[in-house]
Formats: sequence, structure tokens, C-alpha cells
Amino acid sequence: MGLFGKPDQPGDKPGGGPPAQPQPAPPSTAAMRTHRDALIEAIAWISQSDHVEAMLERIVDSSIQVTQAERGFLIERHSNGELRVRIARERQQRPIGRGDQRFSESTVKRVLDEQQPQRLKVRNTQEADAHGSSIRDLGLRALMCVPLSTDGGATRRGVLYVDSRASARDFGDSDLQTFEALSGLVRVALDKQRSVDARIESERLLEERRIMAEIQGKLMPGAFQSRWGWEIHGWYQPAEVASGDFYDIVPLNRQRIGIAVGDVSGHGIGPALIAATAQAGLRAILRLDADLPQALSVLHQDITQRMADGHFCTLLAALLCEDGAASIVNAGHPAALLWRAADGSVESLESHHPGLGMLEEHVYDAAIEIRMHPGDVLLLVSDGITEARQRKARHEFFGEERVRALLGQQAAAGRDARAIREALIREVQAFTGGKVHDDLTVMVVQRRAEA
Amino acid sequence: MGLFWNRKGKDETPSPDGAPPAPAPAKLEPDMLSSGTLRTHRDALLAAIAWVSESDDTDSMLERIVDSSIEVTRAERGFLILPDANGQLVVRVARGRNKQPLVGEAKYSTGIVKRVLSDSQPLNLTVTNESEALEIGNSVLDLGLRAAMCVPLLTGGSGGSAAERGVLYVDSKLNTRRFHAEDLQTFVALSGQLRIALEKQRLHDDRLQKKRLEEERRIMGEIQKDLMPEIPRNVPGWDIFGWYRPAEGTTGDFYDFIPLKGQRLAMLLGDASGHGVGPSLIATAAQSALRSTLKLTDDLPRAVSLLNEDIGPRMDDGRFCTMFASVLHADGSVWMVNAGHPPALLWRARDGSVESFGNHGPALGMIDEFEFTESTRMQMQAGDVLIVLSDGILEAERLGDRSALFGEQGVLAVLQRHAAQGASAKALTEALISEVLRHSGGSQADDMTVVIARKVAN
Repeated sequence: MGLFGKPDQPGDKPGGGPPAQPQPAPPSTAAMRTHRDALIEAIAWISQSDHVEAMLERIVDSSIQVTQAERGFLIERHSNGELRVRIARERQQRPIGRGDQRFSESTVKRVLDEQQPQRLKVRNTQEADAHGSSIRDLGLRALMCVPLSTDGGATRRGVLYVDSRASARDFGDSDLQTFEALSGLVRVALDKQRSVDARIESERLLEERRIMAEIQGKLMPGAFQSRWGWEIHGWYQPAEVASGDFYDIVPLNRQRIGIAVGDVSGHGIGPALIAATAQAGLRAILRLDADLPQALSVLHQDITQRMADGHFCTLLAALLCEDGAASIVNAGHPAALLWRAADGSVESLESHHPGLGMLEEHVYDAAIEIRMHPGDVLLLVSDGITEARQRKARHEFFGEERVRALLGQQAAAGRDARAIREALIREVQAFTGGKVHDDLTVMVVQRRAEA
Repeated sequence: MGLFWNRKGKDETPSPDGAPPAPAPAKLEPDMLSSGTLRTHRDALLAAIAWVSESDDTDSMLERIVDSSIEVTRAERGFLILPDANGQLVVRVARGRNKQPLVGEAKYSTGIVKRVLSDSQPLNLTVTNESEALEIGNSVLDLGLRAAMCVPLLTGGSGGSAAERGVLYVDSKLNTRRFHAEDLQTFVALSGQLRIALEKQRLHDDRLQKKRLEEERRIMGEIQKDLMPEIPRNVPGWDIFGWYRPAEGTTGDFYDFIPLKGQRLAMLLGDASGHGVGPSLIATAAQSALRSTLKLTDDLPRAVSLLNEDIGPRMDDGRFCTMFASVLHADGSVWMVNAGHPPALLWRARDGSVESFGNHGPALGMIDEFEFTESTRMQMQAGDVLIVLSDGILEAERLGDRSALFGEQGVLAVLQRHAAQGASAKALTEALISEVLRHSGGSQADDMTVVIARKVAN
């Protein structure tokens, strides 16, 4: 029988109600039930399945059945404007072969252009001629076509389409309503597919980020160094997966240890690249025996050339010598705190160099020179610590005072570097209730008593 | 037993124990729903589908579907109960008749909800007397409920865990109210729309997250671009060009040009294993360390050894970074060290011959204590071209034939064709890239990077 199956037959409903009356007379109880049941079934498919292609086929089949059409198409419009048949079905839930997938292109284009549903009735050949060649050639007598658009019509994704050659067929209002509802479910199914793709991509990106955080963790030094009379404990925790904070501990020649705590402006994974640049650059320079002012000047010049305007990097670096002498340069970082075992005082080592990359002409010449004695403790933190916000009163900062007080208490109680670091982290976490908005870094340096 | 539990699709049967029958009018028998009632059901479904497919306002969608559930089943109250972030069930929507929110305490039958969640089946409950009510739980009795329907909602997509389960629930205190099989069918379908609405929200969130992550990576790519050098101009005796393109967002390759004392230029190219944001971090660290080192020493083997000693122990097992480092002198002499990188290629202007310069040692991170002691020193003449590339170019696969790699042959063909014409470093790079992309059909599976130094008369 060629392109089309049996001529129009009403009432495919299981249980067989009375035959539907010729359209567009008001729908019978049975027809109303068929429509309701079709919607119930279609919702069940869409809400329970993840198999988009099967969903789409079933909705097209259902569209044919409920509207008593002969054929149904899901036609997608691709970004280049080309129309492609995604689903082509005829009665009895059968696919239509490639060669027979012809439809009224003029109607489809019109629906895509106007973004309005179309319902056509062709009463005779004259009307068919008026509607365009494909309707005439295919011998169509009735068709319906509705747009499948998302984002309020901005994305014209295609159409859902049914037609019939049966001269008795005339799609009624309730046919169109149900057909439109089924098209709504097609849209949901198409969206679902797009979103599932987005979810897979998101998961991949998250995994990439996680790996990056792991790599960054490895680029940090071992958290602990104990040599040449020094005990050093570092710690950092990124606010997001990767951090703009960094710290470093590098054993150097002549029994010296270089230490650094730095913080790149901004959040997210981008600043981690600048942190890696500053961290690796500083380490390389220190390994070549540079003194601190020279090291910071070379690094400053390098970073200034390579960082976009608006970015900068604070850095506190120190060289610790075997005899207890330490020299410190602070480029815009929170001041180092020094606890003296002799009198239990806490001194803030003030220095007024700008952050690296802030002032191009700046020369990092003056270092703070101190000598640490057995039991003395030097504490370095990033501003994530001093500016940690209180759990309940969000405007209240943890502040330098709390850091000083804690250092004083802990050091006076004879705690070692590790215990002091842990006490500080515990206190900050209790203060914030665990909600971290910035990267956190802590380093505790203690001059060993027996050295 | 005076309670009956109806499963989806099954008709209710009257209570067998002779309890006073609910005064259900005949016209409400399931198979005798009037055309008008069927129309109401159909219309409710049409409306719910339209809201969910057209709106992006999840909260109002949810409210409307609960309202519609109440209206179409002629219940008195409706609840949408969903797990919160901690998996605790909370009332997300509580509505009364006439599309009004429930005021005051919104109590539902926890017994019914528990039952539905444990059975994973819709429930249609009619209570004919108090002892029956007690059977399902105090809450039914205390609330004076006479009828309730409840459907499980899997909000985690297919195969959602228990923590992602919620319910849609309606109830009534009216003695005369019984929910019929067709009420339950429509109610289940409305719950399906709810589930679609919730999933749509979640998928929308996923799309936003993807956008956010891509944006974040894009910004990182911008920062990385800044960290790459400008192309040096007016280098005495040299015409220089460099180019890179990440496979995605950021690159695990790097190149660098560093002006050195004595009118010299250091030219670097490296490639951290893998690609994506993680290896970018390693590449950037290696780049920075070597750049800083070369600012203080021009001893290439020592610089590369220091770098290996420094960064090797900080790389994960199995990760490594290849590196080609060179110093170009104005008189055409070139020093180079190659640590595990594909050979640098030198094209000679005088006879079109090609020399390649292989490894002086393993890639950084492969052997932590490896000491680089050797380097290559050679002399270039005007017109000679030195080219160094990452394997993303050499291993570019042919479209439709993955085993056909671009390879050194592809590079040499470009050099033979264009270098002989005196093409500039930039023009050579452009010709090379367009050949590679033609070979691969425009696709790119790995980061691509190239640097070219062409000797010119001083």
C-alpha cells in the first residue's frame, strides 16, 4: 500500500470504546480517556527512562495513535539550518524507511519561522495545490506541526509533525492540545539529553580539577623539616580545589634553609599558575645562592613582566642560618610574628615592601635581620587566617590579635612547632565553623633548644 | 482488615469486613468517570506538561503541580516532601484547597510516607474507622484523615539512592472522600511531571556548573597566556617565533624566550606529561624555575640538573616533563640540552640537509638524581633553521587513519618547501600549523607547541 498504512481507523484504545466520532465534533468520553491515557503513559516514559531515542520513538508513536494520524516525524533543525529527520514512524509503531521520509517541508519551515503550531485540512486537490507541491505530491489531507523550541523560542530545535492521507481525517482542537503537550515532552527529552552531556562534561572537568589539586599538593614541600637547629612545620588548605597560596621549605647550601609563604590575588584555579611561577622561581633563585633582596628583585621583575595588570603576589621569604640568624623580606604579606622564649613577648616584624608585581620600579633591598635563640618561635600565616570570618558574626575577623595571643599561650606552655601549628588551625576552624572563604596557610619555625 | 493498599493500576475493592461502606456515589466508580471528569484529568496533565516544558521557575512549577494534584483528585491538602542536602525529609511544598499555601503547622501522615518509601509503590488509602487508622500509625488517627494517596519520587534520576527519595502526597478528612483508581493514575502522572521538573532543575544546575567550570578554565588559560613570553624582536642575528595551542583550555606545554647578557637569547620548550589543568601547573613551575635559573647562570647542563633535582621529587610517580633548553648567540653558535624531548631539527640552507639533536638525559622527574653533564654546541649559518616541537604536532593523527602520524617527515616537508624560499620564522610556523591541521582534519588531541630560530645575517 506504499507510503501509508491502512486508512484512518478510529479508536485504537484497549478495551475498545465506541469509535471516535468524525472530527472535529466534540470528543467522546472514550476519546477523552484515550487522550488522558496517552499523556499518562508518555509522562511515565519520560520520567522513568534515560533512553532518549526510545522515548522519542514512543512519543511519536503515541502522537500518531492518539490523534489518529498515519505518520509522525520528529524533525531537527541543525545549527547550519539543515532539516534532519530524527524519528520517522507510521501506524502500528513501525519505522518509515529512509527513502519514504518525505513530509511537507513548506509547513515545517513555516512553523520554524513563525514559531506557531500549524493545523491544516486539505479538502480537495485545489486546496492541495495551494498548499505547495509536497502536500499535493504526497496526497496529504490533514497535518499538524508544532515547534520544538527552548529558551523562549531563541533556540529553534525543530518540529514534531503528524499527517494523514485519509480524506475523513480532520484534526480537532483536543488533538492539537494533546499533540502540543506531547511535543512539550519531546522538548523535555531533548533537554535531558543535552543536560546529561553537560553533566558528563562537568564531571570530567571536576576530575581534572581534582587532579590539579593533587599535583599542587605534591608541588608543596614536605610539611616538616628538622635540621641545622630548626624545626619547621607548614600547612595549607585551599578554599577551592587549587590554591593561590603556597609555602615552601628548601634546604640550601652552607647549612641554610629557605622558607616562604605566598599568596596570589584572586581565587579559583587560575591563580594557582601564578603561585607555581612564584614558588618555583623563588626556589630556583635561592638554589643559585642569591641573597634575599636579590632573589625577590629577580622574581619581582620576572612576575611583573608576565602577570596581567591587577594581579599581584604577596610573599614572605626568609633565610635561616645554622647559627640562628634569620633574614626576612616581606613583600606585602601579613607580618611574621616572633615569640621570644627569654621574656615571652610576641613581636610583629613589620616591613613595608609592596607585593610582587604591584610597583614595577620597587627595589626589594632592605631585609629584616634577626637572631633566634633556643625556643624562639617564628609564625607565618596567610591573610586567609587573619581574615577568617566568624561563624555567626560574619563581619568579625579572626585578626592578628588572636594569632598573637594563641602564639603567646602555646609557646609559653612549651608546645613545639607542630603543636602550635595544630592549635592555630583548630582555633581558626572553630572560629569559622569550618567555612573557609580563602586559602589558608600556616608555617611555624622553632629554634631547637638543644642546638 | 479494613485498610486496603492499592497498587498503581489496580482497582479498589470495597472493604470486606463489613465496615460501614463509604457513601461513594455510583458515578465515581473508576470505569465510569464522566467525560467531564476525564476532561479535567486530561486538562490537568496538559497544563502540567506545559508548565514543566516551558517554565524555568522550579518552585512555582512544583506548587502548581501540587495544587493541580489537590484539585484534580478533589483532595484537601497536598505535600511535596523531599530530602534536603543532608538526606532528611523536609516539606518542600504544602498546599491546601484553592491554590492556597497551608498556614500553620503542616502535618502529614509520616506512617504513610514511610510505608510508601519502603515499598517503593504508590499508595491509595481509605480509612473507614479508627482502629484501621491506628494500624497505619498514630498520625493518620491524630490528623483525622479518611483518605490519602502517596507516590514515591526518585529525584536522583534512575537508580537514585535512598537519600534521594521523596514523595508526593495528598489527603482528605472528608468521610465521603475515596480516591479512585483513575485518580491514582492521574496523580502518579502528575508526580512524574514533578520528577521531571526536579530533574530539569538539577540538569539546569549541571549546565550552570559546566559553564562555570569552563569559564574558570578559560580564565586559567588567559593567565597562562600571560605567563608565556612575548615573541622577541630585534634579536641580533636571529629571527625568532613561538606558538602554542592547548588541546583544551590550558596547555601542559610551554615555551620561553629569555634575553641573556651578551646579546644572547635562551630558547626553551617543554612538555609535562598528560594535558589539562593539572599538567599545566607542572609545566608552569618547570618553565618558571628554568627561566629564573637562566637569569643567573648560562651553564645549561647545570641549570637543567638543578631543575631536575628541584622539581623531580615534587612530581607524582609516573609524571614527567620533557625539556629542550638552548642558548642562541649572535654569531650563530648554539648550545643546547635536551632532556627527554623529541629531537630538535636543524635545516641547513646550503644543501637542504637536516640534522637532528637527541637526548642528553631523561625527562625531568624520571630519575631524580640524574646529573646532566653533556650539552651540544653547534654553529648555524645565515638561512639555517632550528625547529623544536612538542609531540602534539609530531603525533597529530591523520583524519580517518589514526596510525598515520604527522611525524618528522611532515615537519621536514614543510621546511624543504618553505625554508628554501627564505620564509621567516613566523611564516614557517604558520605553514607548519596549517599543514598539521590539514593532516588531522582540524582536530587536535594534544597540546601543540613550536619554536623556531632562523639564523639571519647580523
